[in-house]
Amino acid sequence: MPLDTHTVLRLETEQIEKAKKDISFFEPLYKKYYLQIYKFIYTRTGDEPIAKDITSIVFTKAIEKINTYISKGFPFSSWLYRIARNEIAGFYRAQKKEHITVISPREFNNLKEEVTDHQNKDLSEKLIALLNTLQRDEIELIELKYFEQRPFKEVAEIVGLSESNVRVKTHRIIQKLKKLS
Amino acid sequence: MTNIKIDPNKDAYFESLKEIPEFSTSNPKSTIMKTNKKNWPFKGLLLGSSAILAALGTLYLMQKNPDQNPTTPLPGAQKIVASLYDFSVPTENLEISFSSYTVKLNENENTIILLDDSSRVIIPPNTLRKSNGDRVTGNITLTYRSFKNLKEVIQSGIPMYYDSSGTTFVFESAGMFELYAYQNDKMLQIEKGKNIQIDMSSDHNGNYFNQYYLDPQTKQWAYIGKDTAGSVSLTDIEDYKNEIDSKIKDLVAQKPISPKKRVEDKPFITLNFDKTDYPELDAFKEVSFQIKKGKENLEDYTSQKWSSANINRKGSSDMYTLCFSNKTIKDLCFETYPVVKAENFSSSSALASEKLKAYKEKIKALKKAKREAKNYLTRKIAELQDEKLANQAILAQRAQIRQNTNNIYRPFQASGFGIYNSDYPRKIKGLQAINLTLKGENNKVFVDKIQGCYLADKSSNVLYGQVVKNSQSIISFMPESESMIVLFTTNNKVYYYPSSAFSELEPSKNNIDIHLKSISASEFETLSVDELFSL
Repeated sequence: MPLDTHTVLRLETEQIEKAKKDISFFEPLYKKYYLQIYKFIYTRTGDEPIAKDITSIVFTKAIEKINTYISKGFPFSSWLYRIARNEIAGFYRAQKKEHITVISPREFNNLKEEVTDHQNKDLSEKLIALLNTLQRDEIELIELKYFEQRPFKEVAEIVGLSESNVRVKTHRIIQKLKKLS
Repeated sequence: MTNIKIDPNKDAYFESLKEIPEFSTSNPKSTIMKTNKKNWPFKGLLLGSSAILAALGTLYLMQKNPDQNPTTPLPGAQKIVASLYDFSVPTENLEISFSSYTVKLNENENTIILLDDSSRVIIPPNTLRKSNGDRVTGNITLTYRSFKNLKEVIQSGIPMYYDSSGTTFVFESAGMFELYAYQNDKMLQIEKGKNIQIDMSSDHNGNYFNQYYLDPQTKQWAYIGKDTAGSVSLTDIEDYKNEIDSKIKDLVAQKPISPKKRVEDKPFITLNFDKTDYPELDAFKEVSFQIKKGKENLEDYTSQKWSSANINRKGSSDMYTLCFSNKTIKDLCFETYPVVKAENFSSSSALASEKLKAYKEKIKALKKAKREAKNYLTRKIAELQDEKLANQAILAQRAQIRQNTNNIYRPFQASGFGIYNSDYPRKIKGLQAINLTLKGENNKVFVDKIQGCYLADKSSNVLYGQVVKNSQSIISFMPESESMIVLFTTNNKVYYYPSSAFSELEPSKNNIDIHLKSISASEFETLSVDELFSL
């Protein structure tokens, strides 16, 4: 029988506390989250070697900073996502390249369904063009909420805003896309 | 701005991902601990700027009191005392020597060592340790050599391939260096958790380089972070300022609105909607929208069923456009403003007043942060200008230092001694393969035993190593690049296939004779890269 969320979080917190004392206990966390974090970074860089390197940095940092981690009732992954988000931002700042987001047709449809009906066959290109005009913080919310289908609570934890603020901003972006598409 | 790309294979690719790198905390270079020290731009800025500021004080002091220059290069270049690496150099005659610098460590401030190639090493106080862990004081000797161009990289024998999770890349180099510190002929270490800074001078501009450390055991490059290359960090501050602007913009869009009393004998609309999407109306208890403009006679519409209703605030004003649609009526819109019933006016106004106060405080804090960022930018630009002037004075005093105004500093935060580089990994693709037969100057097949053979691509500033192992080989090159072959034999002879001949190769031919020309090692040593490619 699958464990309930509360139990999962409790067990994870215990594992983290052990890892603070002996870093070899970090391994189960690493194994559990490596691919999630890699996918998160790959989606935002579109480059396998770069994504692997940044993933490596994220876990190195997590190990270095594990003693500062305090559980706030969110999955440990939220903390890793925050580190990953900062590293990705640092990567683009240094490279001075345009941000890339690689999405699958399935992920794109999640947004398309939200923005309009399916009858408009020309919408895809238009929607892509509109997305490309959004500010970086706006597209980040769309990535997390619609492409990756994360709950608002988790999105808020990752981007460091209140849940209500994330809801408001996301709603307004969708309204803007609806209006323009 | 973001470039959205739809990849039909992404889901399948993610599905196929099963293997993850092995977890290890014991071997810092082999798995996830590949990055023993990272140098991201903003961090680099802070570290770099503090070091630069500390450096400024000393540099000015040195300018005023030239006799007190703490850096004393030993006469002549010395052979290396020891190295952590054992490369197979193409020929010992051409091995690049280390230069030595003896300096007394400052106990309370940074020790700055200016190097002959105009790079500099900044050692913070209490950073070096002996092998038994004791703190190092007094005189130390630094040994340093750099490999800044294709020719020097050839001479180094250092591998210029980078393996990232099974994919091999070739490096485009912005420069490398090898650095050690000694006291009484014993190699020193950098204390765990501390760094020394090496500002490597580089002729190569460009902000797309990464920094790597060469693992002495595996001889593999380990990625340590992005190369911040000086002025990049100013842009980071600019980005930070823009981020604040964006936050201010967001906040202004949510500025709380002060409630007005509803006028009961004038038309208004009451809607059930999620108020969390409109935080500016937080203080309104039971909000409704008084119609200011539009179809004021609502009787025709009150019995209608609507399939959609939209509430859109007009900019940051307190006006809202309410639009309704159904199958027969499209976009019935009203210009409105939010109101509360008279009985709720007092409590709503009090709450709005509190929220407005909090909003103003937030805006004030953000504007203050923006001002500070702006001031920091102005100050930082002035400091960089000061630093440039100070450096110019020092460089003028030291005539032997090569003055190259095009140089930029590439700051490294080193947590250990060894070889570091600033490179851009390029995927090996687009190469044209040809079958070749190496021939000597007598037009006979080349029979000397090959020690090392390199294909130097000047256009991409890339070096391919060990491209030919015997006289009958396949070689791959970039057809549109300016390339040449440099070959070393085990009996210390140097041969080359000139760039001019390379450009006339016809890859369509089945087999091509490559007529090598010889050059003495001493002549090779004196040539610049441009001269080498003009042979």
